[in-house]
Amino acid sequence: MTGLYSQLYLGVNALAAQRAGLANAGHNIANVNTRGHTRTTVDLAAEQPPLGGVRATGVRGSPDELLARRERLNDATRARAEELQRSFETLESQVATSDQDIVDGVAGLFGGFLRMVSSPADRSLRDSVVQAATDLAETFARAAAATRAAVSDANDRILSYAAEANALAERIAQANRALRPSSDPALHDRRQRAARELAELTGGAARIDPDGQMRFVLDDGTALVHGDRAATFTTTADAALGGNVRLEVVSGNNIRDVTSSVSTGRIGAQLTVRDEAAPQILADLDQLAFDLAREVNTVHQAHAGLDGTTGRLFFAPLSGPTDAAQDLSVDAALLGNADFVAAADPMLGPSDNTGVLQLLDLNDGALAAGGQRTFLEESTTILSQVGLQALQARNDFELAGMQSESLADLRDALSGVSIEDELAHLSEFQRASEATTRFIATVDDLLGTMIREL
Amino acid sequence: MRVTEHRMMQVFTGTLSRARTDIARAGEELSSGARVRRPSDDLAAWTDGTRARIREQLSEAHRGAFNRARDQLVETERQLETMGAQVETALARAVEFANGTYNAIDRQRGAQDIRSLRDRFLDTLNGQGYDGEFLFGGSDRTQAPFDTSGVYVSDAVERSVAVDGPSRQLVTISGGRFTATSGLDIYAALDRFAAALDANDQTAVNTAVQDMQLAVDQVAGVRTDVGIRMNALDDARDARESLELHLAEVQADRLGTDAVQSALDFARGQTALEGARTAIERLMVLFQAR
Repeated sequence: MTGLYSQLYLGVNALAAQRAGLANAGHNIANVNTRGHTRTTVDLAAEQPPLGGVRATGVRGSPDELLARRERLNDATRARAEELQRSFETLESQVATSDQDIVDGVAGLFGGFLRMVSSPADRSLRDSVVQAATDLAETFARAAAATRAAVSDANDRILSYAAEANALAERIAQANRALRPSSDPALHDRRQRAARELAELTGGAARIDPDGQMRFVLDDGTALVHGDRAATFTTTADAALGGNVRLEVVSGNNIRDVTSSVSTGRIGAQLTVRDEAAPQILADLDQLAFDLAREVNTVHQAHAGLDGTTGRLFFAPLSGPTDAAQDLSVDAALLGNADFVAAADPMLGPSDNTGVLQLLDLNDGALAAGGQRTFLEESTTILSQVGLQALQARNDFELAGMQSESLADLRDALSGVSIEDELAHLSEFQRASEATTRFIATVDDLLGTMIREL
Repeated sequence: MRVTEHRMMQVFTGTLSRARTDIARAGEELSSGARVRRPSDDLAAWTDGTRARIREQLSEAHRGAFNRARDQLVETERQLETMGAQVETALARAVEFANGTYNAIDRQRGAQDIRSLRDRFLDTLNGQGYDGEFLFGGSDRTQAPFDTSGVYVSDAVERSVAVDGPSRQLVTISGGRFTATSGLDIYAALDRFAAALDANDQTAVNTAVQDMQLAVDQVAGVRTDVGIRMNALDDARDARESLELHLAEVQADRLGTDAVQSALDFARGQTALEGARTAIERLMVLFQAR
């Protein structure tokens, strides 16, 4: 049989337990808008006789590691798609604007030749052809500059994201350190948030080891965080990458080049733009410019200007496809004198238009893309490829967004804070506190009576 | 499934945001008239629309070339009309002087007339168009094709324009069509006619009648060719105009806004926006009622 003092201690412990419940409900309500906060629950355990009563054994969070892993994967996919969409839509808006793009430029050149056919000696028509060629060269240069800017932007973003990733990796390592002696749910949440943000940047996977420590590993197996140690991303300008940065993970004396292995997340997206997509677009533009200049020059050199002279170039000579889009320009002699446009057969008079008819025929020949397409078709194909990549990224982003919504619904159902639920808990613990207080008062009364009467 | 207030708010604000985006897009389409402005808006439509736009541009350039060439042919036809009248006059005079009633003095006066006609014929042969080109030049239309002695000094090249792909249409007439290479050297024939009248040579005058008939036929033949070429250009131009109409329709269909559809999308977006706003307001009321 327990005494009244024991009952008093029972009441005090019970009050402490109910107050822990009140505090927990208050904590959840206060954090209802905190991103990544998981609902906490107070664990109550009944004390065994002879003392009896209740004790708060601890506060427990409600994380779901499987769900968290799926969210991180989806975050990486969504972030990659978002970055690609932004980069390609920006590039598309600069290279595929109607009336000023390479398709219009090429069409303008052949349109000029077309008009010149009926009066090849007409000075104004010759000037129009030279102007159309100048405009074409400018559109190529603009497209090349925009593509190079996309490469440069991607490189800058990689630098910025690498620094962010380092800060996040360090935060996870610190949380791991702090969680060794503790199991604070708030620390867990903070670590999860950091892991999600890191996954958005780098892809990779976070795993909780049996000892409760989080390990973060990139897709190629490189560890960014192991226990309380965080590796570091370093960026070094590399001539082999055209002066762009090489991305390495440094951990102690180990250095690992991850430039070609990080493929998801924001960094992966920008590496794709910088090292694959934009260089391909630039290569296609360069090849098209080079092929066009070569074919036009070949026909032009075989025909005669108004002065009967052959052998003149229409476009300034290009040594090869490299930088051809940027370097394409009308030959200086032609710029200075449109009479040099070689429209005539060298054996005939200046009013002959055989040369310009042959220049016109270049429009119909499959002379671009290794003999697969006409110049106009290839121009259209290059621009549509940029658009296709923007469209694919947009669709991927929308899909990942829908999956995010679905996972958020699930997470909210499992571990989100419902104000109504917490208010109900508040009411429960409040009533229990009141009842416990009443019990303590009753025991106190009894004790008081005993003391007075005995 | 358990749904928290926070999640409900997120869902409704997300719906509100999407409804705003849809309205903005529908409104932009309605006001600009363009549904597709870049490849990622609708790749297939953009490609079709761009191809149609470029073909239309090139077709307009084609028509420009046709119009120019046709103008030159119209001026050529005018010169030929004059030439036809001149050789008809020469034929009439030849028939007249083939009559044995005229004496030597009449014929000498006639010779002066024919020489004057011959000189006007030479001027017509060296006629220029509005752009300064010599209408009957060969591959060099920057210089007079006939010299002061009526000798043709250019070549037989006749210029052509591109009609469609590799197909070509001749659009100029070379002065060689009025020389012996095409039948009769008309200038020389007029000169011989004048000489025959000067010499009062009846036989030569009779020959001149045949020559002038040949000249009339030769000029008429060239006029027929010019007519055929003009018709061919007209047909090509009409085909281009019809093509351009079709290409404009393709562009409007692929790239342009369907006003009715955009208006419907706009109305739907408005409804969704109002619904989302109402839902949020109700939610706020529920939260406050607690």
